[in-house]
Amino acid sequence: MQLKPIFVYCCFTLIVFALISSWLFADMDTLERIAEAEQDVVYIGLRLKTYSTSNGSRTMEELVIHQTAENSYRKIVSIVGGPKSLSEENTRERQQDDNNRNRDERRRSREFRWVRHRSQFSPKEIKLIAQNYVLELRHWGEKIAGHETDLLIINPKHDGRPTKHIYFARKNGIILRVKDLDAAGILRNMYVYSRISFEPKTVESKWEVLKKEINPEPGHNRPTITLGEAEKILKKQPIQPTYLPVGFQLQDISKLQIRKYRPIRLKYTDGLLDFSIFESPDEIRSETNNRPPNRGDRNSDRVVKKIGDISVYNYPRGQDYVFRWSSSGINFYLIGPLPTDELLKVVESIILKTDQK
Amino acid sequence: MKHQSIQKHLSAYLDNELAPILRKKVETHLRTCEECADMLTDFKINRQQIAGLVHPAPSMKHAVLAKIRDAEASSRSRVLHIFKRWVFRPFTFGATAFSTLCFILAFIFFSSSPAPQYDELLDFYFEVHTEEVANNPLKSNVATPLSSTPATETEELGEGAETLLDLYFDD
Repeated sequence: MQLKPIFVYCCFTLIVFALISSWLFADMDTLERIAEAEQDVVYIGLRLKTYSTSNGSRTMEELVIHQTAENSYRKIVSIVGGPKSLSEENTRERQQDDNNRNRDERRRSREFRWVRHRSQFSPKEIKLIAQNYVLELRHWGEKIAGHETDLLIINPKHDGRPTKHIYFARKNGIILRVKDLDAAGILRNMYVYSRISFEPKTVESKWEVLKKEINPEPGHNRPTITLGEAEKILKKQPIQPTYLPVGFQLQDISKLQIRKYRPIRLKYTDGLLDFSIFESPDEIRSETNNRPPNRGDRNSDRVVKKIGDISVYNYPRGQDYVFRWSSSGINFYLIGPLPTDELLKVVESIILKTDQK
Repeated sequence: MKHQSIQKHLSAYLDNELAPILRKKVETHLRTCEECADMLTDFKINRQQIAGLVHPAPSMKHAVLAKIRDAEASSRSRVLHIFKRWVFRPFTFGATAFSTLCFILAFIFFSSSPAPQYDELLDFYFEVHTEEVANNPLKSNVATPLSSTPATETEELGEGAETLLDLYFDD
């Protein structure tokens, strides 16, 4: 008879634990459901996409078709404004040199063509999101493009990280609206579907028409490699930073190729944000370091930081920051959207490590 | 006259073709006539010299080797002829020329293509880095607030743009 209160207490604790754990893991399940739906559900839709940088904002309309994981493409059909829509009278714009103009033309020519939509939802990254962010599921109930939606909010646990709002179709988990807010809570990126169809017959018939104009681009061959293989490519051990921003870890190493040049990429992620370190044998330094700086050359007018004897070049680029330097016969590029002071700590840790070697 | 008739038969005498009576007469005359004896000696010397000039009949070994050489030469010319016919066929010639051109171009490309410049490399790396963000709606690239972007970047807005923004925010 004395055991009865203990028995009741145990049962109560178990029930509470079961309820709490089911509530905690429900949001993780939602994230996994969304990731799976983006791979498995067929759809065709038109979405409005906008993003803003310090140079101004850009809005575009994009057609997306997802028939299978292989047959998944997107294409910009119209653009509102330009990358510097708020600064068209800018004198620097008028003085833009030929190199930059050619680069812009190359980018524009790429924009209005079909691009393969490679969905890359890694279970490891989803787990990392759950580790570094707080997931909050809200039954929103409002309709987007005629479909009832729920809202998953991904809130950061650490300072200086973004927040993500994902509005997804209640019936199948397809994302219908995404809002990216920066660390200050300002809306920076958004896309929203204005029309979308999940009817397999509609998607099939549209695919039959569209596939004639889709000229699949050659696939990028960027296989992941081991540290040992990376060492063979660089002819020395790849340098990994001793400092990483909180929550970040090495996701993978991949090998790249641009003409005869063979760099490697070390990708670090906290699940939501990525930063990359590109390392290659320092072959271009000797060919270009004596070159006189051109007007408009993106290397010549950027901030240079001195860390020891090493000059570190810093280029703001879109919503990311780029750091470039050379040490111990390796040419480094660090690209990431994190605050510059965080990225500089990563740079310093690499330079200190190369100095020690 | 006697000398002349004897000298007529000297060649036949050497060849041992004279009748025994006539042979006897010639021998008797040669014993007494120095002129005819000298002529006979000259005849013998000439004969020996002529005999030295005669080529011996080719040996079996030489004949066989010559045959083999002839056969080799003819088969070589036949192979050459077939090869020439194959090479100069329009399709083969075109294909050979095309593959040679490809080989030369590939050699030029791989041996002389310069290492990419910093700008080109940056474009390439940036494309690799941002590709995933564009493809994956669960990714983000907007951690840094706009207000903390460096001066080099904000300066690009220009005075006109700043005034425009102020106007909106005042409203």
